[in-house]
Parts: sequence; structure tokens; C-alpha cells
Amino acid sequence: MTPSPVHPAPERLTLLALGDLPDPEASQVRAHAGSCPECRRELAATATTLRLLRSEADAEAGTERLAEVRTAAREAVQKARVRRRILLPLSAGSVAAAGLLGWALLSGGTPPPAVSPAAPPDATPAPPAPAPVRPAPATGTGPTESVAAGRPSPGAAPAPEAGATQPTPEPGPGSGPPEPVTPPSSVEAAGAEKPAPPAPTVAPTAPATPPAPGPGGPGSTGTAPVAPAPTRPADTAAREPPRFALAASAETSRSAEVTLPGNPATKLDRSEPVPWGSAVRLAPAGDRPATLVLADGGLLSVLHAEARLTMPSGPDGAVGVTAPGPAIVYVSLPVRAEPLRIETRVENEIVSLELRPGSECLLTFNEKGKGAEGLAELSGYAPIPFMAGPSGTGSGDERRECPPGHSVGLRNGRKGKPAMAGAEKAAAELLPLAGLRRLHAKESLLLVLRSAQRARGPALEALTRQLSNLNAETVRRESAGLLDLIELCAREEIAPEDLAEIADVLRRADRAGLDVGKLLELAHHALLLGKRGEELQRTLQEILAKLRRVRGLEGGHRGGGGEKKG
Amino acid sequence: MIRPAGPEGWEALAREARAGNAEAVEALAESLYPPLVNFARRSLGDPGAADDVAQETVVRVVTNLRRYRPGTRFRSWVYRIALNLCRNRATRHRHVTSDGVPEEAVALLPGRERSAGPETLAAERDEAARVRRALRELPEPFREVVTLRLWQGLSFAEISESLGVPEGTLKSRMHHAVRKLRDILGVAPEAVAGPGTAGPAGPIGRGSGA
Repeated sequence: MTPSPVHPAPERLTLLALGDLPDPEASQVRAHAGSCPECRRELAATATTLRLLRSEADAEAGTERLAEVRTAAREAVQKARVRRRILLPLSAGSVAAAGLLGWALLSGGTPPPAVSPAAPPDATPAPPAPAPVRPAPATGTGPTESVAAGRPSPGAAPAPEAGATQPTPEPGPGSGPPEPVTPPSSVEAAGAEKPAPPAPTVAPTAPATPPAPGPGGPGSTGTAPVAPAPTRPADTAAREPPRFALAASAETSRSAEVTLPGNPATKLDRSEPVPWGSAVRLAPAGDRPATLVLADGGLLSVLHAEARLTMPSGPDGAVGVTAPGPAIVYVSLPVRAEPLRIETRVENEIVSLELRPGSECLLTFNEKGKGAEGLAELSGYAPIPFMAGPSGTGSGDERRECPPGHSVGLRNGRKGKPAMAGAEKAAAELLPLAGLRRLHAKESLLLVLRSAQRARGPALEALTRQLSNLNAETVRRESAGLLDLIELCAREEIAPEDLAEIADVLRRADRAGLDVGKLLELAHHALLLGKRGEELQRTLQEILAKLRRVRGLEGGHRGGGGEKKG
Repeated sequence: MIRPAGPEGWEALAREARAGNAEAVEALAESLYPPLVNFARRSLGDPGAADDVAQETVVRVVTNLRRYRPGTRFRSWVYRIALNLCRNRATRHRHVTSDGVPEEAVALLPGRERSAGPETLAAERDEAARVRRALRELPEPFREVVTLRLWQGLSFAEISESLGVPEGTLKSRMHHAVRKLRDILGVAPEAVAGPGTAGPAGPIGRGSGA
């Protein structure tokens, strides 16, 4: 090839040195350089420079670092999958998460839960019902007890109780006349994004919860969806059963709408578990919440508007909560449950709340999805001690932001204002946001009672039953102290006999017109001091006797008026 | 057991990973990280930051595999992510070490024969440090092209996809970058060889993916 007399563009020389010049052109340039000393020098200098640069070799990544990267990648992929499952069902943009309190909104004016003696709590589930879901936790607690007890649910009709003085509060949610409990209707279901564990092993034979015969009918709900089973069938052992199960009829709002994305033809009975990885849409009817009972006894209830819940894709996943607009979701976990991670989308970030066993939280979704602010504000609004942070520390009334990944729980303060007082105030703050009606203290109390009941099952059943017989005015007035006591009982290991004793003393004091508030305070102190068993019994009797004396003295000063015989 | 692969095998791993194969995810991560960390070290000049950026790139790649459209060059996509992260990082942390050549980076340089004497090693380190210093003096757009072409082995077409810059522009940048590096490194044009010498015997700096 005849070398071109014209110097090639300098860029061509560089490309030639790099090997990036196409062949015909490369030959031309090479031929020219062969005959042109200037270009040859240029080419040689470029080549030398490139060689020099190439001598700066790659560094090796350390094996430890590589392992770290592998782990990070694997975990990130897992998280991304969970997030996709949470967010995919919703195209409705961002939602906000926030806040504590307001659980009282759930009860909707239901009068005290009446437990008919004819329908004892299903505390001893023998023979065990066919387990539709996973075996209940070792505690034996779960929705079973509360459901089987035939108590009215927040969404169920109230059961009139003979002898119990029912409050006639201001018209509140659900304070209307009793309505019959609607049998569990089938709900639309469809294949989840990720195929759920095959239903036949868990679902079809789920004990169809018999419809409640009527208001307050004993045993209206029959078996619960989460019944303890001694052993897990071999064919289901390999699969991790769903952690969430839909509540049985009486505990589920009859209006609850459960929709699983995918095939709309599939029907899912409410008593069947919600498969892993599926989404559930819950919408309350009016003031009646739509409730999902966690398999280990927790409660996940949509109080207002509509929310979608995405079940974890596996045992370690988080439940996703999203809502297209303003909504309130109440979550409570029993004491012995596993911590529950709740993920929700806040603007473009996923915020994760780790709910601890024995705690509750309220997720509030506002209109525009400014969740981070909402979370901080609503947490701050709650004038009660609350936990923030993995260590569970932190308290006070100050406005506090809960960073993503930290827990927001709720607990009663030992000396601070009890949760109930905070609940009412927080609820008042929430009203404009959620359009909810004002709460009544007793309704709030009942909700917590139910929650606590799930946590402690039969042990608290008696206490609840006894407390529900308290004078409505007493409950309203002493709701704070009652909640303190209940919370303590729910969190501590207190024997059923002790609880029964406390409840009995309370009932007697109430009927005797004694100072129940003082009694609650002293009983609480006694429990905090670790008094149990006979010692607690003696203390309670002493307290009762003192209160009687005080009452007698007061009566004497007022010129008579002894106590009523309890 | 899926083994890590070279750049030519990345896309296959990515397909596996996207299909939900956890082993493929790890293999892909392991394959991507070493070149990415080198790219980030050269871009940022800070090994610590580079490690973080490389890891972040890997994580973003594996978590966003669904967004990758088959048919486009996977490597380009990966390096685009890495480039963006490097740029973000550089924007946030403008400060560099005094000499711009962290000793840790030099110490980590591989390929040093154990049998080499201390003088050789020191000289090589010195050489490498000089190169890094020179690289740091390049404007960022030039440095990106040089790094991607020379060390990461991307073709100009791939770099064009990564940077969103036409190939012609990239080639010009490359040429100017090499000229500038030549000046910085003090490479004098070699003495004119005889007429039969036709410059370098072969292409220099061709990477694996050119």
C-alpha cells in the first residue's frame, strides 16, 4: 500500500495505538507512519504512554469484601422483592405512614363484651380444631380465644348483656342498635403475585366458621381460624404457613373486602389464611373496621377508609401497608408474638417500623402521602411515653421523629399519663385528618381489652369479663387506671388466679361504691412490687378493707350511707 | 454452583439472576465488584469511597435487573450506574488526599511478583503512583473515557452508551486525554527509528471488551 503523503489526524494515531482504528484505515495510517518520522514519533510516544498507563494494574478485591458484597447483593434482592410486592399492587403513588394511638376508634361504640357463661372461652382447645393455618403459638393464645368467646368484635354487633349497665354515651361509632352478626361471606380472592402455598393443605378444610346465630348468641363464632394443632401435618411442614389469617366471622367486619390480585374468580373464605405474598384490601363499612387477625393473635384493623395489606412473602418478610388516600390502620401484637415488621411507603422511601410484641401502633395515611412528617407529628401528638429506636428507649411528650427502620411502639408510662388519656387527645388530633368521630373512653378501653385479651388469652378473659361488668361510669372515669392495670397484666406473667382476684376485687369495690381509682392504683403498685399469689390476695383484701373503712368514715361523716353489698 | 464470570458472562448471569436464581445474584455480584472497584478507585482516587461506590453499584445493579432491557449492552448499563454514583460521590466529597494518590491504593496493586526485589516493587509503586497522579489531573470527562476504555475494556460504542456521548466525541476526548497524560508523565517522543519501523507492533490498551 502506498503511504499517504498527508499526515493523518493525530486522533487517528491514538486510535491506531489503541487498536480502535478500522482495518483499511489502520493500514493506511500505519503505512504513512512508516514513512513519516514525525508521525512515527508521535505514534511511538502515544504507545509508550498507553503502556505506561496500562502498567497501573488493577487492584484485587479482598475476599472479605467480596463476601460482604455478595451478602449485600443477596439481601438487597430479597428486600427489593418484598418491596415490589408491597408496592406493585398499588399504583396510587405514595402514601404516608404515621403515628400512634387511636385504637379506640376501632370499637365503634360497642358495649362491654359480654361473655355468656354458656359460652366459655375457648381456652382449652381440645379437641383441637382442624388447623387451617399454622399451629398457634406455644402460648395457646391467638384469635381463637377471643373469637370463640363470642364477644362482639369491633365490627360485629354488640351483644346485650343482662345486668350490665350499658353506657349511653354520646352517639358514637357503632352506638346504634344491635345488628345481627352477618355470616362470613366469601370474599373475592385471586392468585397472589407470588404463588401462595397450595391451598389444599391449609385452606379448603378450614373450619367454616358457623354464622353467628344472632346478637350475643353464645358460641356464635364456633372455631377460630387459628386453632392450635398438636403437630403440623407432614406435607405442610416444609411450607411455612401464613402468618396471617383472616378473622372468623364475628371478629371480622361483615363489610371487610378482601381482594387478592390476580384471578378474580377464586374465592377465599374469610376463615382461610391469606397466602404469603398476597395483597389484601380491607375497607371498613362506615364506622365498622375491617379486621385481619394475625395468626399469632395480633390484630390488624383498618379503621378508616381503605388500605391494602401485603402479606409477607416469607416468614422473615414484612407486612406492607399502603393506602390510596387517608386511612388509619391499627396494628397490635400480643406479648408473645414475634416482632412484626411493617413497611410502608413514605414518598419514595420505604419506611420500616418494627412493632414489638405487646405493643400497638397506628398507621395513618394522609391525603398527600407526606408520611415522614406525619409519622413524626402523630407520634409527637401522642402525649404518652412511646418507644422509639431499637433499644426501646425513649419517652416523653416531645415531638420525636422516628427514623426509618426504628420501632415505634406504644406502652403505658408507669408514672406518666396513661395511654388512654393520650389516646383521646391523639384521637382528637386525628379527627380532622381522618374524619373520625369522637371516641368514647369506654370504647377505647374495650378495644385495648380485646387486644390484651388476645395477648393473654384465657388469663385475661376472666379479667375482661369482670371488668366489663363494671359500672360504665366507673369505666369511663377510671379508664386510665384500668388500662394501666390491663397493660401490666398483658405484659407481665401474671397468673390467671391473680387476675381473677384483681377483677373480683374491682367488681366488688365498684358495686360497693368504693374508690376504684385508688384501688386500681394500689393494685397496680402491688403488682409492680412483685406481689403475686397469696401475698397479692392479702394485699388486695387489705386495700379493699381500707377503702371500705374510708367509705364508711365518709358515709359516717355524711350521716350514714353504708356500702352496697357486693 | 454458579461461578463468577468475566464481562462476557455478565449478561448471562444477569438473566439468571433476574429469573430469581439467588446463586446467580451472588455470582453476578462477585463478578461485577472487582472491575467496578477498580473503576471507582481510578475515578475517585479514594479506595475507601471506591469500595463503597462499587458495592453500591453492585447492589443497584442486582436490585434493578428488571429495568435492564435485553438487547442493550449490559456492561454499558452497569458502568452508567457506576459513573453516576462516582459523580454523585465526587460532588459530595470534593476533597481529595494531598497528593491525590492514596497509598492504600498503591499497596493493593496486584501483579507484583513476590520474587521481585524491594527496589523493583518500590519503583513499580512509584510508577503506579505517578500514573494515578496523572490520571487525577485529567478533567473528569477525559478521565472517564480513559478509565473505561483502557482499564475497563469497554469499546467506544459501550462507553457511548454509558455516558450518552457520541463516539466521535469520545475518541477526541481519548486522544486529548492521552496527549495530556503523555505531557504529565513526561513521555518524550521516541527517537526516530528507521524507515522500516512502523510504530507500535500492535494495539495497546485493548481491553477485553473492545
